[in-house]
Amino acid sequence: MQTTFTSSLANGITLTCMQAKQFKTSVLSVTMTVPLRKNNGFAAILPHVLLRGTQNHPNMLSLNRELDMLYGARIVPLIRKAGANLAIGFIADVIDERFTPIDLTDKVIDLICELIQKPALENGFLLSEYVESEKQNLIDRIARLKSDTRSYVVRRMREIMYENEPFGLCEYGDIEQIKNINAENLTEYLKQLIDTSPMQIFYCGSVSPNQISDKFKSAFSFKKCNTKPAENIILPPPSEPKYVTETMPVSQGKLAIGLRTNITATDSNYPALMLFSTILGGYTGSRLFKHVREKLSLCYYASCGIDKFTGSMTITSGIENKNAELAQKEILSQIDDMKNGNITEQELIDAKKNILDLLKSMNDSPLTLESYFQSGIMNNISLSLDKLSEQIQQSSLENVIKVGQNIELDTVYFMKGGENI
Amino acid sequence: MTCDFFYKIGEQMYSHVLSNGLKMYYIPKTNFSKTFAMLATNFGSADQKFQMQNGEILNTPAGVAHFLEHKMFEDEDGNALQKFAKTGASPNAFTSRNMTAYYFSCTDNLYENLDILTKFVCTPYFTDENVKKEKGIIEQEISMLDDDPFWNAYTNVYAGMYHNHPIRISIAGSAESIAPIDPELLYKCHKAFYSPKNLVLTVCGNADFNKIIEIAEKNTPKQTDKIANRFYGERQDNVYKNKITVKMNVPQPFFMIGIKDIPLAKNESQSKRQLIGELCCEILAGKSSELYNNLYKDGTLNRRFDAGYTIHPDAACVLFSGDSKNPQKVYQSIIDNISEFIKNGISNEEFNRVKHMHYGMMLRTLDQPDDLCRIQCECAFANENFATSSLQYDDITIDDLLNMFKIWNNENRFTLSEVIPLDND
Repeated sequence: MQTTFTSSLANGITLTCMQAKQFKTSVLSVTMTVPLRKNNGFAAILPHVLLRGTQNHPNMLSLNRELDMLYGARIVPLIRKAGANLAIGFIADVIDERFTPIDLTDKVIDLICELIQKPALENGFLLSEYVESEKQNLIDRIARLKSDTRSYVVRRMREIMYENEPFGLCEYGDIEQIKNINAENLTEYLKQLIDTSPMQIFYCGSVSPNQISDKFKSAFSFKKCNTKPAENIILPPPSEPKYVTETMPVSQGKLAIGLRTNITATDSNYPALMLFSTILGGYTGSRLFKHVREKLSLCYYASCGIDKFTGSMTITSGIENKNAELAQKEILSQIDDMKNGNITEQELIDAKKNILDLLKSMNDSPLTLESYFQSGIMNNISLSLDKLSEQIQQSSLENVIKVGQNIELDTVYFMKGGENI
Repeated sequence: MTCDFFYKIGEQMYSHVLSNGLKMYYIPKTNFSKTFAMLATNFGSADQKFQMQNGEILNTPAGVAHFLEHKMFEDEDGNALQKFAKTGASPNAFTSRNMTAYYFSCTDNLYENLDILTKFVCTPYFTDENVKKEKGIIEQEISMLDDDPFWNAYTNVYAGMYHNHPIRISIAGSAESIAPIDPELLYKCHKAFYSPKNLVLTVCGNADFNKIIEIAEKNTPKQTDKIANRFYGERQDNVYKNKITVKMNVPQPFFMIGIKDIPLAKNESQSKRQLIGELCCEILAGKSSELYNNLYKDGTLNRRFDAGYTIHPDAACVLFSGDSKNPQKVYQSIIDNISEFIKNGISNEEFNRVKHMHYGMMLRTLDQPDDLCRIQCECAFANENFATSSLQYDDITIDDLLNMFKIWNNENRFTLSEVIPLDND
């Protein structure tokens, strides 16, 4: 397992380093966190506008040609929704320092800092041309969410489930609010963000944590920040589950079921919840795979996942319209069966092996590690893979059943395929 | 057993060929937690028409290679997916136009998993009942693909470029085309293309190659069938259709633009062609090209724009894809920029910058055991290896790129496939 090194570069600025010598890829990310709100368009548009040009590289062509010379380093906008928070910034991947004669990591850090601190300006403001064009791109992106039906149904279900909580808000913001963005108010927003929001920096690669820390300290003028990430305040489920059906002009219907588990990542029962979800629908040995797909031939996919920050459990499947009720019934009856204690020791053993394998595999991907640790830190939670693996191993059958008994149905959303298609 | 060292990229690879013809490779990644293994057959959706060893010519329905992929997991003593579920491994499979691959990754029980993998791929077990059951699942997979704008644009761009090559048909086929598939046909396809001579096993991670050889020797047949002869039809330089448009649930058009290149010549290096193709794509339409930056600046393209080069049996093409309110403008820019390059040439500065970038991208894929195994399997089918292309940068010249642009510089080789909103007029 990797050793992580976390330090504070200044008040509210966290640096997480994982020194790894087995990769040819290094990953760096720099994000700033704001609470999820309706005006998140301001945050979501920023990395896109900043990537249009800096003072040294005033347009994308110049910036992208510089990246070519850094062995095709990639710096892409990062917009991450986790819990009640939204982190925005950049994630970069680059060949590891060991494979180049130049100080590649330093150069990429300089470039990321330049993107944030020295954007291209006219009259002291971000370029109007860039702001307007990225507004349109963001609005188009929101409109496009519906055309990926498999992920859209989950998004729509959460919107309904969390109508009174921030978790249901779109990370790209609200179209009407985006229309109000201009060069002046976005420049002001950027300044405020740098001055007040918590910042998370991540590095995985062969360079030592001290070197990375020193480099960031010299490249970035950190302001003291006193704000904290928003707390994940989770409401109880509704007295009656919500059932919503909507129609879309597509051929396959899609079902998304949302449940509240009352357990989040910091809860001692969280590992048992992971096991419950895996036994139910986390892998090819799961109940949903074996019953809904293999036995009843109802679908190509039926799976279950949990969100560690909100404690929600989501089940999703693509099915023919006429099979919607049958699939829903089978899914809910599998949950009930598990809640009633009908989980075998063998199911538990198999699920443990599966989770432990996945957790261990995460160490092979710097990008996966980035997402795992940064999403925790932006919610003020420190997550250890070793500890989690240990707790998974120790979880008992009783524990898993007990966790299941607190799971409550919240929302059943069915996206019906249109009959005319 | 042989071992090759590729010092420049810090990799090594062990190779061995069993007496039954199975090619085997092991790429060590000893500091990685997981090991990835892929067993692939050089049989994809393009291999629809073929002649069996006994002379029988089969014209199989669209989607049969993919159907076979689903059914291979079934064995007399249970489903292989359920066997993997007990070891903690993550198994899966895919069918492309060129190949069918079965794979797993695991952090433990490697040899047990390899045993499962090599056994189930070499042991067909089809019954009327299990074939019928699978139709329901695959129909839902096809239905899911039918709703995917990307998949529609992707299938149609091939349907536009090719007159009669089977790559013009969707990999999974349709509910109608898979309806007549029965156990007998699946057995025939297995016999024709799952002979060890047509298979490649690649393992990447932590393993003892001798043990891998032992398991493969035990589980693959001693007697091997001859690989069937395949037919891909007659080739034409011109595309079948210059434009294909479908309406779907999209807020703005999604497009794919294909340029039909000439198929690989006999004895031509596949990896060299691939590398030249990728460099041409980058120079013409990569993130640092004039084309992309101009079209981004005027709002015709966004960040979701890609250009890639693909080689298929008896075919090769370039694909550009992305969102745009004006795909026709992207199409025109591609044509204009190709002729500009032919007219003005490519500067050394540009050529070297793009090679530099491409080298950096290639080096990073070596961290992905899944990609690496797939690339190695594909290379082995062409009697090359994954490192061949990475060591060829110095052999490629500006003229190689310009010669490729000269072939592309013909509008009769272009197909625009677009998916437009339902309410578009």
